[in-house]
Amino acid sequence: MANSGERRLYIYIYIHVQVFSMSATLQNENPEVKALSQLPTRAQEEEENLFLKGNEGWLWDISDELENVEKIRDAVDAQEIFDLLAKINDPEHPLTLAQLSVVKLEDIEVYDNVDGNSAVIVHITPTIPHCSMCTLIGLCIRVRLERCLPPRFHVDVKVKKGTHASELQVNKQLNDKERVAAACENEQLLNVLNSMMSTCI
Amino acid sequence: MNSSLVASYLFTVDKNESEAKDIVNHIIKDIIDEKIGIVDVVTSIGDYLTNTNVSMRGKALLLLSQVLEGLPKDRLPVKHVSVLLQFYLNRLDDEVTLMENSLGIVALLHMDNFPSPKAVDVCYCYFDATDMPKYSQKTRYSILKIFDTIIDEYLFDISPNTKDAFFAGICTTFAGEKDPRNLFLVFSMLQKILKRFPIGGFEKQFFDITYCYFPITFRAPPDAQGLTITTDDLKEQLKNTLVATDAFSKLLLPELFKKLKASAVRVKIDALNIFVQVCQNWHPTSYLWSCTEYWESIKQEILESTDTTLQNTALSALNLLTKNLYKENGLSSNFTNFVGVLLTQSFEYFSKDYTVKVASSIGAVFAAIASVSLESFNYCCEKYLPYILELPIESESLEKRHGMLVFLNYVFKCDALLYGKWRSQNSVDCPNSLLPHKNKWLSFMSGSLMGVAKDEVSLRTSAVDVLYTLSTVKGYLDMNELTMIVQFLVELAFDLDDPLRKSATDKLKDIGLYKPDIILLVVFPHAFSLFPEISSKISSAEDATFKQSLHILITLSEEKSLFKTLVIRLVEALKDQLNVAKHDSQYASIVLQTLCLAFRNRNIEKREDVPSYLDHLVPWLYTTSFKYAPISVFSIKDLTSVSQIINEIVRVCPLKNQISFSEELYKLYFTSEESSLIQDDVQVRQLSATFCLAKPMSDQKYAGLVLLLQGGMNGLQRSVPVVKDLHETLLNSCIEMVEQATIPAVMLSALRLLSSLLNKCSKDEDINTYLQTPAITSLYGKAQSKDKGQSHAALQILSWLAKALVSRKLQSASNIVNYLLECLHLEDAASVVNAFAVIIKDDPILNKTNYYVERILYKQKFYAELMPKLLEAIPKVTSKEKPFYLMVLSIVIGNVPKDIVIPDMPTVLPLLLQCLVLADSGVQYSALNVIMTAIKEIPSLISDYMNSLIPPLLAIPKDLNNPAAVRLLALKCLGLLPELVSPIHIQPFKAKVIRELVPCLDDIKRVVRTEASRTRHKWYT
Repeated sequence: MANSGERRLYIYIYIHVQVFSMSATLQNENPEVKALSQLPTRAQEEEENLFLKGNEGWLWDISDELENVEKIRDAVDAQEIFDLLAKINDPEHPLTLAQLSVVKLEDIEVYDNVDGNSAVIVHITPTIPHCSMCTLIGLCIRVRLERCLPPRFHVDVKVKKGTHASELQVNKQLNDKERVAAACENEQLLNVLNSMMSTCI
Repeated sequence: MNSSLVASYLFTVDKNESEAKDIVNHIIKDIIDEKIGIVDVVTSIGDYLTNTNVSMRGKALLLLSQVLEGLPKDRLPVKHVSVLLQFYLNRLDDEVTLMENSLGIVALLHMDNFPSPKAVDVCYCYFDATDMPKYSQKTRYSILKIFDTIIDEYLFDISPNTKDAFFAGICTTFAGEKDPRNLFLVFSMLQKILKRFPIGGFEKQFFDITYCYFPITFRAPPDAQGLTITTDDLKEQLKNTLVATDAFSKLLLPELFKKLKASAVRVKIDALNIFVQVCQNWHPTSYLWSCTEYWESIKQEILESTDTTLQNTALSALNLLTKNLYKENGLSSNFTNFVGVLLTQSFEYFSKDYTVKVASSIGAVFAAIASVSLESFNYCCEKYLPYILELPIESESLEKRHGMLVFLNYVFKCDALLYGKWRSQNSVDCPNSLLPHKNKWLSFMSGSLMGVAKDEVSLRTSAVDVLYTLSTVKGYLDMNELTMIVQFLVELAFDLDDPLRKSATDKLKDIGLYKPDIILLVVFPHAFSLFPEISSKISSAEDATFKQSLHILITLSEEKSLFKTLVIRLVEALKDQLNVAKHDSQYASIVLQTLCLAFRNRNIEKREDVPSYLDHLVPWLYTTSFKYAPISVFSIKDLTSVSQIINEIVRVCPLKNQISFSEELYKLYFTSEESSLIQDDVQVRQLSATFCLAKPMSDQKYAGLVLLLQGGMNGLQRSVPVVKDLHETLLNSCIEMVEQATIPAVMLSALRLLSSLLNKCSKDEDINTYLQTPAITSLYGKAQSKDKGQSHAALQILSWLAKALVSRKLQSASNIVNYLLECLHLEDAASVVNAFAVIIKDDPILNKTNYYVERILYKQKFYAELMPKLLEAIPKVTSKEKPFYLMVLSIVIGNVPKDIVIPDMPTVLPLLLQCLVLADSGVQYSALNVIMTAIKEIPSLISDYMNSLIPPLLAIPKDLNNPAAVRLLALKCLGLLPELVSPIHIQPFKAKVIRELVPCLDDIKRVVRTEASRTRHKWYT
């Protein structure tokens, strides 16, 4: 028991340092920014069904086609996960993770299996190799996915190989359930996470 | 003069302003009527002026000043004015009454008889006697007002001898002002002086007292309600003051450049705005000397920008500067030297590292300079561009190639601007200076587009952009090269998996506007070659490609001649198809649907060429339908498309053409005369000769042809004779058709025709008479008959009739509506509920585009009449009938403007909540819609019903039998709650909602899932 209490204390202090180090100077002052129009979207695929979309049943009886469309299951794909994460704000800049290329479409793996185990693996790319916000961003992604995905998905957030100085450490931290749970109990940290996710509406 | 008047003024002035004002007006009136003189006024306040009580002195002086202010300007003679002025000036050392004093002097300055040389004396007295920083804001303001009047009216009375002392005094008095209101006045005075008067020798002083305010950092305090001056106003005033005279040139510009080099972004933008104003207002010689300094101080911001607004402002200033430099000097050494410095520096920077960011900055610099004139463009291209062009670009990394493409896009945009685009009128004699490099670049660009992997989206998008820009430049590319570019774009546009598909299609459309011939030559053959084989069965893959090709063809045929060709070619394709078809063909259906959409889009875009299709396409459509519908090559769905195409064409035709069309249509459907709508086809002519409306009723083979009658008739304007007068027989045959029709589409079509004819008819009396005829009255009995089919048809007819009358706001509508209300007691009232939906829902065909009469506020009237009856009935009905009443309620409320429902919400909301548990998804949908409005508009009401609202909102999205639209709407309502309802009411449900939303996160439709996660997110925070 004592051990666990000690550990929690350690976690608390660690988080505290993390949160407060944010107010200090920016770590990466001039990051590469993608324009919003450059981000991958689903618009192109949705156009597919143009005969349904174009007239919206304005003239022809399309109830059959609609019924068919209703019954088809849209599988969870990387784009869907990307859309969930794209709008999270960076803790340092007034920009989103997608604009900063922290989250990239090609770095999201999805295994969608309706009857069995499903998994989402997100590889994040820190803007600079010694970014200390990396854990915070990873935690936020994790919390966001856990809130938005059905429980059948196993969520895994990792730093992309070779993009961070202390990659292993960060990965270990992010996938430690107890630490994540502890973090979510900390009101101050939760506020930070919520403000990062405030743009996800 | 009555001294009590003065006494009562002194008593009331700081208590009751209007009373004091009355006293002043009274005195003024007495002076005008010559009952008293101004001397009397002065005498009567004389005692107070020497009173030891400060406020007494001030008030007395205020009375005199206000009287002077109110007097007519020509009332006082010169002598009086001079004496009064002297009186006021002598009192200047009484500092506590300075404000009242200044008020009097301003009044005197406005007098016609003011001796103008005295204005200078006034100034001197003030310079000597006053010490501005000591006084309050109001006092300072009143003193400044004196100077404002002098500057306005007596500025030119200041002689060269007195000028220096005047300026010196002005500068001292104005300096150090801090209050925004006073500062605003100071700036406007300075502008007047600087603009009108030479300030020789005093530039430095004037500049110092103005520039010291830059940059304006003023922020209005939050409690300053009365302060109407904003930061932007002050910035604007300061800017105008600084650029008011070009005598500031040597003082201002170096200071600005200093700021541009090192200060906050906001300050830099302010400085740049001033510089832009300078370039617009000053004489060129006074700022052109600073060109190079400007570039040196801003180049960092342009080349390595961190802020787009700043960069754009800097670039537009650069463009303006270069333009004026060129205007002043032409292509002389002044200009070329400047351009040389800029381009050499930029290109050196460029060659070091040309990433996209750098390339777009350099491209913008090049564009800012080169776009100044054709001459300068050619000069820049010949002298400096080769430097860039010889870079070994082909072997570079993709990133650098991307950068180069971005840069080239700027160059060619300039080129298009100066040499014109295709179809532009201006012609340029000299050959395009970019011509020699054409081949190299073209192959580089095409390589970047076609020679890289598909997923290099951003690189390829830039390549598409630059190729498009290139192809718009007039006379730059020859036909072969244009064809090649169009072929590339076609390849992208028709590739279903290519992410660039859409942008390629858009570019093709734009090229079509410039050069339709090339689209005809390249795109059309390609698209038509993708069409499936005639008479073969279409597989689903082919189907997708086919639809895709047609979609692209429609999109890019925006140009008139292109569209015409497209229609002709599609009709030809249809003819080939129909000749061999033995039963309904999917090919024909898709083509007809496409044509229908195309015409609809063209009408939405208000293209003017649609009516021209009335003469050929419409008769062909009638002939073909008459030929192929009876042998069921055309299905009902195809006939719907045909009917809609006809409608789209007819409804935009001018009245004259509509009348002749309506006559032909009448011949075809109601007489045995030959109609011009049937073209030369022996077989069809025979059929049409014997054809009349009775035929479709007796023979189901011909039933579908009713659709074409409706398509044509509905598009007619109200003044066309067939529509204008009420034709009883025509209406009766519509009713008959409804009763006998077995195909739903035919029935609907006849109903619409009936409703539209009744609605558009010109006279109300005719309608009322018609409603009394047996054809209509017999319907009431039929509606309640035991025969289900008969009762359904009768209810349908009544509802569509009611729709026509309700839209026209006819009183007779209420009879039918009341009757329908009674019918809700019937065994199976579902069709009655449906009848109400027909009446109040917007119809896609019967609307204003088809000249359907929709009187203003007709929905409001309907709602106001029906609602009390419904609300009264609901508590009394049996539990079996209740759902039907609730359904009607929800449908009516869901389809009227939301504002009129809001006041009734407290009564209606509990009933709507009961609707949520009914099984009918249409009812749920409209109830949810209204509830959503209620949440948005009156969240306080909703908070009382949280217990009964949240459970159904959670249950609806979990049940996959509900349509996705209903699930989505329920989630949206749920998501609105935490945003709008107060947290006290939300908190008890928070855990429950978050927990119960989990299954919705795994919904089969992606849109619903996304909405569920959004809603859940809102409940978390």
